[in-house]
Amino acid sequence: MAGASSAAPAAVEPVVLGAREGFWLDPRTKVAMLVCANVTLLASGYSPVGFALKSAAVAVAVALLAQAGRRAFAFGFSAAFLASLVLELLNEGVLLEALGATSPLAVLLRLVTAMVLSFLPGTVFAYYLFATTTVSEFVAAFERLRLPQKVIIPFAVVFRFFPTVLEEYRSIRDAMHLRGVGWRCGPVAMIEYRLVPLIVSLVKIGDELSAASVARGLGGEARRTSRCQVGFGAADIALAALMLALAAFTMTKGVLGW
Amino acid sequence: MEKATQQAPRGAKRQIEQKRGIGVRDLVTCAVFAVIYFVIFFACGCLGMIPIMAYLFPLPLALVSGISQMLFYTKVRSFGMVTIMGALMGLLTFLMGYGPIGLGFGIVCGLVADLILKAGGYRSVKAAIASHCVFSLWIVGTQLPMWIMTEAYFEPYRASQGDAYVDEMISLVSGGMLAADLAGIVVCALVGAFIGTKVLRKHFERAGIA
Repeated sequence: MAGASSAAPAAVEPVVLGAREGFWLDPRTKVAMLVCANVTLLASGYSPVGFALKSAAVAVAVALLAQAGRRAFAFGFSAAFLASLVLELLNEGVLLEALGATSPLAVLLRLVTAMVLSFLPGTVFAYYLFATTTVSEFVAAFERLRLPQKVIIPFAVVFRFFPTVLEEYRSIRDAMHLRGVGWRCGPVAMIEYRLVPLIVSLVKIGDELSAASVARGLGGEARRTSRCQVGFGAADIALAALMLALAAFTMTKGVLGW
Repeated sequence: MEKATQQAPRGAKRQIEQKRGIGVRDLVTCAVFAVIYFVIFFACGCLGMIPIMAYLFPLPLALVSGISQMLFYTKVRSFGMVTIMGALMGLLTFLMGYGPIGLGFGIVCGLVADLILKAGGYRSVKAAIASHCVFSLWIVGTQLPMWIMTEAYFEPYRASQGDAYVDEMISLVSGGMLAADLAGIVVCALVGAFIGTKVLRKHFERAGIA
């Protein structure tokens, strides 16, 4: 939504209008990559080829994150992934024998490694999408696809809302901490004194947001224009092709049953 | 006085606000409640780190989300809003890597919940409670890959660990567990919706947002 860039200046990087310097990806490319990555991660299985495919998708995610300046995050994620991969390979060989195949510890280990290997990388791609795209860019890119506003508006609002939720949650947590309401009071108190105020404040912010978006012409009959420049470049094509190839290879592998 | 405002130029704006169907305001409402639902989903999903809870985290989710859903239903006045919310949840979990089944379940459960709410004329508390029970079932769609994947995950171990081991692992997480999960979700959703109506009266109506 166009309203976000002025409403939350701390969370959104200012867009340099007209001059996109350096590496930049179109939001549509990022979404396509996310979908391809999820296909690759979920359908590639736990064979050596599957591990290679998963690692390739993870390598792309890590490179993109490092490029976006989230080096610590990229490093932590690749460490977790590599550790799980090693554990998984050890499972097959020695660990299962040592722990006893059906012991709770072995089952726990498997669940955790399966989570990190198949689910976490998809979440990391989603994080990249949210962290590096401004809401205006997002709306501009998807209006070009001629998606109806009923699809774009809720999604853009969700997009804009996550930083707000964090901010609100932190202030409510601090306020309740001051009054001595914490985990020790039990889950009921936590829900009543943290979730309920959070819901109230978010609903109020939502009301203001909808007033602001009506004022900005969302939901009107006229076609909106945007100052954000979106479009595909060489990097978009290369990365989309790479991820598509990974997903396509995974699908053919699944069909052929390697 | 009423007539004067209708004839004035401002009357045109009034008509836009009263236009039937889903407006921008409704779309923003859907999105806000989808985010709140997602926060609860995320908090309950963290419980999924405890092994058994990976299969049972929908229970606290159905319970706690009753609070936000009951408030959401007081704001639903036209058909389609709950479907959009379900689709949004499905889309978010799909983007997070829970697979496409969740997206289908989100849309279908949202649609059925919408129909129940419509049957109650958007005012009936009973319809809202039933609607929440059906809506809560969408989460099973995000879990199904886990059931399906379990087989894929343990099959390769057949050679090294023997058939008995693999069969035991698969039987641990299939069949009865899924049925228990579904029944548990409905019960927890009922309780959650009931709590939600209480919280609605105690907090939200007093705060003037219901």
